[in-house]
Amino acid sequence: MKHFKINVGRRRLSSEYIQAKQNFDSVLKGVRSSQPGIWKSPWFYGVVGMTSMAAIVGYYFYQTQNQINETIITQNNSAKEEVKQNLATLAVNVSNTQVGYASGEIAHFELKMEAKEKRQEKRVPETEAAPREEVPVLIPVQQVADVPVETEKKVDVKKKAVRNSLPSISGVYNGDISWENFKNGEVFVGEGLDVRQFSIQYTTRLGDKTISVKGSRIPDEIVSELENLGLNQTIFITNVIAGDETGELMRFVSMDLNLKFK
Amino acid sequence: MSVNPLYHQTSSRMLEELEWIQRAKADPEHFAPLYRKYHEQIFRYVYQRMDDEEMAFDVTSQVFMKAIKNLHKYEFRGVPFVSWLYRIAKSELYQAFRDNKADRTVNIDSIQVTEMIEEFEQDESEENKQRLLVCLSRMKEEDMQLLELRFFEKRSFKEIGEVLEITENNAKVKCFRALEKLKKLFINRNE
Repeated sequence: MKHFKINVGRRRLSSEYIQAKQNFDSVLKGVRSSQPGIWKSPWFYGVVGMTSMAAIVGYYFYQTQNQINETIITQNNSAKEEVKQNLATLAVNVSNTQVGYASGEIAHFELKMEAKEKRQEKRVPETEAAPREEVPVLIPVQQVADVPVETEKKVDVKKKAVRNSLPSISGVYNGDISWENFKNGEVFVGEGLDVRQFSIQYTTRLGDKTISVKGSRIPDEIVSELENLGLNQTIFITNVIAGDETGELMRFVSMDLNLKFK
Repeated sequence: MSVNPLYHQTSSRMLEELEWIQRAKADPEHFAPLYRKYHEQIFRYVYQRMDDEEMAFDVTSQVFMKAIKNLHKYEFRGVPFVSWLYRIAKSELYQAFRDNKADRTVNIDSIQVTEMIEEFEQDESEENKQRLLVCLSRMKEEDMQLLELRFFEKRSFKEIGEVLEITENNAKVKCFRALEKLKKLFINRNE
């Protein structure tokens, strides 16, 4: 197979002729016209890319920082208001009863009083029962513990705490729980049992918070606070106390729930 | 065999050339002395392998444009600057052949044909000359390159090695083998 064209004795070009054809200017022109623009150089892409990245990261960081600052300011304000309210309540209570209480203690006490009253209605004749007015409306838990009747009731609650049924929210006793199930659910301990109170412990930006709640539903304030925080975290539900139709109180085991937003 | 004086230079000439290269790296306008010095040599190398004169001038210009653009990559490693230009020329030539801008051609003087037949210890008849041309046209590109560089362009083995990026000894061995192949082809065709 033929691969080449063969020329024999072709006229040799003279050096003068070749030199006359030299044109360095056109070569230079060709080089300059074929040089890529600055926007095609890797340096350009590198610098533009890095600057864009820095701008995006900076903007994102600035936004996040702003959000955090806003949250902290809001929470500080609400915390201040809460403290003011508590102080005001405390002042009223002190003026009425000369004793200070924490809101959790009040709720706890009220629950105990309710149970006590029901029991007394059953066991003690109407005539022997102490009039309600005689019992101070607000007595600290520590003081109640000194009263024999109260001690007896405490023991009663402890005994019942060994109850096998587990408390749950939307069917979840322990582990992961979605935000929807958490916020729409309530603490459930079993058929015929009415959850009277529980304590909820969760983390906020200002630290851990433990709130004693009356009833079985998670209060809207806590729901909105957790929603604003939007943080996946472990929520501890402790001190779950429920009562049956007879008014007998039982303490249930604690729950650890891993709150999942997404 | 003649020696290419532009290829085999004294060390002072090479130093001067290096200075030009350094200056041209900073400013392409300083490439002018190198262009003037090597233009003819590169043109002849290109035109030797082409039929069309204008196309050969175009390819030569392309070679120098590419050299200026890539001059920042050039490093002196004891090899003359022109061998770097030859490598660019070789790649530009094959690019032109691939793009069908030019046909691969082998240009030989009638004296070179006669010399080759003498080398094969055959009669210098017209029939043998024609037979040799047919055999040459059927050689492989790799072998033809070696024969062209050694026998038609009269280059030293050192120069061939530097152009083809092989050692001098390897160039010697390859040239000998290429010639043997041509001889075998020629004699077999004669029988």
